[in-house]
Amino acid sequence: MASLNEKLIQSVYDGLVLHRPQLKSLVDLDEDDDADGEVDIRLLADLIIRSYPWPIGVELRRLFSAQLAEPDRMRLEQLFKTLERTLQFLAFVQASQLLTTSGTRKLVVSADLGAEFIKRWSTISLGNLTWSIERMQGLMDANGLVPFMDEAKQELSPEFFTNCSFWIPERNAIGHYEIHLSDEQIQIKCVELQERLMAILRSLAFLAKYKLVSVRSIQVEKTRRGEAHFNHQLNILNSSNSDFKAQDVDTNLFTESRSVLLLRTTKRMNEYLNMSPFVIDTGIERIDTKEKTAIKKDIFLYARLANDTLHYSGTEATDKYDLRALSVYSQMMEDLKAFLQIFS
Amino acid sequence: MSTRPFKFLDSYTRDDESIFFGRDKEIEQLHTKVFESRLLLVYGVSGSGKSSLVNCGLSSKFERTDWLPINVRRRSNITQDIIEAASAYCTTPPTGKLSLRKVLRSVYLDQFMPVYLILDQLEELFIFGDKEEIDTFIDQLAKVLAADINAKVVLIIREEFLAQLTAFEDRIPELFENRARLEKMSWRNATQAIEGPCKSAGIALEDGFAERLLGNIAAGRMEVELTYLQVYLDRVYELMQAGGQNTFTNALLDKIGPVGDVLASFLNEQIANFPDPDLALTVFKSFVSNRGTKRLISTSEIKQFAEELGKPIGDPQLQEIILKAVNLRILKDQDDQGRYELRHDSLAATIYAKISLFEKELIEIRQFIDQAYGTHLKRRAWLSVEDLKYIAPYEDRLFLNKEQRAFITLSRKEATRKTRRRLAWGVSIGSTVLISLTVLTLWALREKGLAEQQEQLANSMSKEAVAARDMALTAEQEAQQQRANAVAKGDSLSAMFLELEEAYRTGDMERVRALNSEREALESRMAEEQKSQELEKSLVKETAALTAAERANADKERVNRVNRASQIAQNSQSMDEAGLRGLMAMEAYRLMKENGGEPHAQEIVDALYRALYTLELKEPWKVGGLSSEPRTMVSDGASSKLLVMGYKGVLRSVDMKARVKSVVRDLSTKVLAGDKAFLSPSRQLVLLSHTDGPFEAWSVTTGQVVARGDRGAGAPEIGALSAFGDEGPFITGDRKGHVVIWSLKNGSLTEQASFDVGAAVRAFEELPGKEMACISGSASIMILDAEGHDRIVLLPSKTAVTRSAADANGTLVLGTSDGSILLRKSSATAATVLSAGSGRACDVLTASSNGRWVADVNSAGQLSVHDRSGQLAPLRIRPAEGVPLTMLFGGDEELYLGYGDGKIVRVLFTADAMGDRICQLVAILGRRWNPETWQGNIGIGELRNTCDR
Repeated sequence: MASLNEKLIQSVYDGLVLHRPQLKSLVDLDEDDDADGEVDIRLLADLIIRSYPWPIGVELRRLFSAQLAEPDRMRLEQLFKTLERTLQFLAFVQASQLLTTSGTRKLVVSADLGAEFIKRWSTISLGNLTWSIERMQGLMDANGLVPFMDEAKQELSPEFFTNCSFWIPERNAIGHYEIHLSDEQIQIKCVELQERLMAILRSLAFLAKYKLVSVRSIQVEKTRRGEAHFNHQLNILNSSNSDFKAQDVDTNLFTESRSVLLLRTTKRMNEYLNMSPFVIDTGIERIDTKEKTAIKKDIFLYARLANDTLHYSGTEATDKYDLRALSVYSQMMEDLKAFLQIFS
Repeated sequence: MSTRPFKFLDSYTRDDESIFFGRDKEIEQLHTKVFESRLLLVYGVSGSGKSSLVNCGLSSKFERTDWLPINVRRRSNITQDIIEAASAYCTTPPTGKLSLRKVLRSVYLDQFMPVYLILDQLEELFIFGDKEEIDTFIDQLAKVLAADINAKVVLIIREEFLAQLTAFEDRIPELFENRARLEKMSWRNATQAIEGPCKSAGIALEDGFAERLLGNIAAGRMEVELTYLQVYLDRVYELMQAGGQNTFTNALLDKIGPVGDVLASFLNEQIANFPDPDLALTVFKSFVSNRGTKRLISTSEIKQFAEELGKPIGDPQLQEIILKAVNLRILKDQDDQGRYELRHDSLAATIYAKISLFEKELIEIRQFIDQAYGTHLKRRAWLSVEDLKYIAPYEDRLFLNKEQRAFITLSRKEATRKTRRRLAWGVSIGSTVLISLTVLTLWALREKGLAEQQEQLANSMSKEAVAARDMALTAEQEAQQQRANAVAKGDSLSAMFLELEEAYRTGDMERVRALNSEREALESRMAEEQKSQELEKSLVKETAALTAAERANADKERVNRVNRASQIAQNSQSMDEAGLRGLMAMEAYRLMKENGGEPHAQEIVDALYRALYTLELKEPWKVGGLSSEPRTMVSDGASSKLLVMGYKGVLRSVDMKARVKSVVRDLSTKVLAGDKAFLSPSRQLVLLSHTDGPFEAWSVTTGQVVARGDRGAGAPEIGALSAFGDEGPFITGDRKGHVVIWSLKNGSLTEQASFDVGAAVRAFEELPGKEMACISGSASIMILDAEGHDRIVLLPSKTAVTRSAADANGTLVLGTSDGSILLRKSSATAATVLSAGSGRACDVLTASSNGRWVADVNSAGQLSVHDRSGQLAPLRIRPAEGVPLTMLFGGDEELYLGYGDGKIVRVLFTADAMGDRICQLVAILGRRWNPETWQGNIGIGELRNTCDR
């Protein structure tokens, strides 16, 4: 394990344990850990990856990889990418809550804010994401909405937004090669940004309390006199690899199938947030047409709406893929339009 | 000047991304599949570019942080080889007992990159590994796949070894679920593979260069051998460089010209340039396994091999050959253990074709001893008597090391010791028994015989005296007779000795001297005569040896042709064009048959079946659309007419030849969901059992109920229902093993007798003499008559019977849960084994009415047809549609397979029948050989009309 990551890992892990104390016992229980007493920092890193939802976890895994163990340009890029994905996920959680609420009540949005929001939402960038998160939080406050993740109210503090804003000018300049950085300057930037990322990840450590799942299907079990039961077949998207664990949850409530959900706990299936159309799991799609065979199994994040087509970026798949063949595509499009309608 | 943009015989790696072209579709396919499961199986023929596609094509799709490939090829023990290779990536070495799972997890935790364990040339595990190594590997691999670690496994194997992977299926059932087959390159993609790298390297191309090049190496073929392409491109490149140009011109192609087998031509040229080509070829042969694949080998092993082939080689000579071969890119440079290997399996195949039959046998024996010795080191197992017999004829030719020699000697001693021990046990037991008996006898005699002892003694002495006198007289007579015979026979020497004896006895020394000189003269004459006889014998032997040599040559040629037939059969399967595929399969079959090979050899059957399947797709292959599953299917076993009872209760007549079907009786309104329907042995009754207890017999002719019975509400689910005759008695058997015989009185059925057979009743089979066999899931069957008399027939196998059938002679055929097929002839009290079990349960079984054929499909989907007459080896195919629900023999060597979607598929089950049908279809297509396609795809013998038999 590269020493470069050690401080980040230890600090983020400590933050996670505050919200999920049971993580500590997982480290102690590791069957392959032969070391006596000493905590294996590699196991903490693995737990961090598994504790954050997959879109963030996979980027952290890349950041921890041996390929990026040196404070060089590649690591710098990965630091940016990790932050971007983290904020993107956070923004999508807020957006999903707004979209769900808009189905039952009208949200009050000022005309100025609405126009600006639609403009910014068309390009998912670090600056736009930071701006959107702040505004959506304000919008929820103004409309008397309690955030689905109630810790957000406290954790998304001015300090958090300061940490996020710190990156914006750097990102534009470095990302577009507008400034030339020497190796030494890159090293310094890596250390600086890592400190900021550490603070942001600690602020968002409450994410470890939630479960990101995709619902493959829901089966109804009902006998003549018995109550109906709903067997949810889930893929757990908190994982260090894309071979997501399957879990069946039997409950007398049903959620929404063929969707990615953010759950408070699998024990209370009624407390969920449907992340569609912002987070999509193509792995649960039934491949029944030739067009679908070209779709990669991956978790995709919404990128933009252009030419009346939804564009997504994969979390593992690097190429661009056309998701129009998905059976839920038209529903995704309707949902996205409904979301934008809130601001129109 | 540009850098060399072609890889010759090396596979591509991630660093070659800029010169890797023509595989976009396959790369996308692999990239999609690798995310579908933790395990991906990649297979294809040798030279289809499997390794390059994974190590360059697939890897290029990943970011550096998302791809940690651990490439492993078996060296000595695959599990250890993987652990060793993976450990190199661990910065925190795992402690304690190392397992594959533990090491791979540690690699991941150290690297935090998804691990891709790529096991290339997995066929080597089956060629060089023993059972223990294979079992350990399967066990470890299964544990890796079951563990929650970020590691995927990619298995790369030549497709002719795919069947070996069935050994994995028990532990890793998902093995074949996520797989990708690589075809050879099409012309279009091969054009990209020529133009792309040239563009990257800044080499200009003259117009039409790529097409002309492909014409030179693959005229008349739909696909291009990648190794040929690379070797040919390399030669063009060298020529271009020699001319100081930077353009690939058509003139360069003209210089090289068309080459049928680029690799063989390249190899022959290079071998001819060695100072001693014969010796060089011997050295190259040592790099080929007994299965025609390449193998890693040390210099001492090469020397040993050369000695065994009678071509001893010194160190300097060997070093010179190896060095030159490495420079010529025939061999790879030595690995970290000082071993060498051929650059590509295609080279191994080309060299293998040059190995004589005797040499092949020698290689096989050598490999056998190496493996057995390896097993001995691990488990102290010695060679068996059979093993020792197997290696004995070659032992003198093999240059074994001291340890291996000692191993064989000690094995022999061990075998002798075991035999003696067995003998000693036998003698010891025998002696004990004998002594006990003797003691008993003596005791009894002692009591009884004391009184008669004196009298017996006197009698005995008197008899002995008489016998002694008789013997003396006889001896005297024999001696006289011998003398007379010797003289009469003219046996001079014998007579002379007798005379000498007489002369000595009488003291006539004059006579003795005269006889001695006569004897010497006679002996010398006889010695000369013997010499001349021996000379004559050796002449006869030489003549016989000459004939044997001619025979050996002819045998060798036959073996070559049989090998070629196997190759053609395998090649045929990669052909896109159905007609050509058919012709090749058919020619392979003919070659195999004409040269004494096994026409039911697996590769021939596979080739014929696949060719036929492809050809039949151009015509209707299936008679389908019965609209419901064929639950019961019967035929007369001699024609193509079937009677099919569907799940919805419609009885249809289907003529498979005429492809006509008609409704015989529609009972769909009588059949309820969950009901079971059977046809009576006479086919005149439809027997329906309802889930709530009642059952009925409906007349096929009138459509009326002829009998009705009730098993009572809550009766266990019925397993089988039949009738001894159209008017009863009827017989039912349920899932709890309860059998009831019902007699018919006034249209209703009453219980006449009942039995418990102890296991779920699966079927009733009608036997001659109004008997019925009750088949249950146990290791015995019960034979019943209409009066309720029963007898048990025990089966030799302890596994349960899963399926049954009976032929017209009353022979009962039984399939068991371990896949054994048993026969119980009419009135026999026991069953015999027709085919030993494969471990896979028999799922479907049928027997032809004439008793000659038995067919079964096991749970792995393999259809086997057994010829009880013993004339043909069992035919084994894997029906493309999977495991059928039911199966029947028709006439003309046809089998009909009924499937769940109402489809009935016809399968021809002898190579002859498949061949005839292929020829019919090829003729319809108008496909014939031309000289180019014949040369390119058959390559031996004169062009002939394959179907002109």
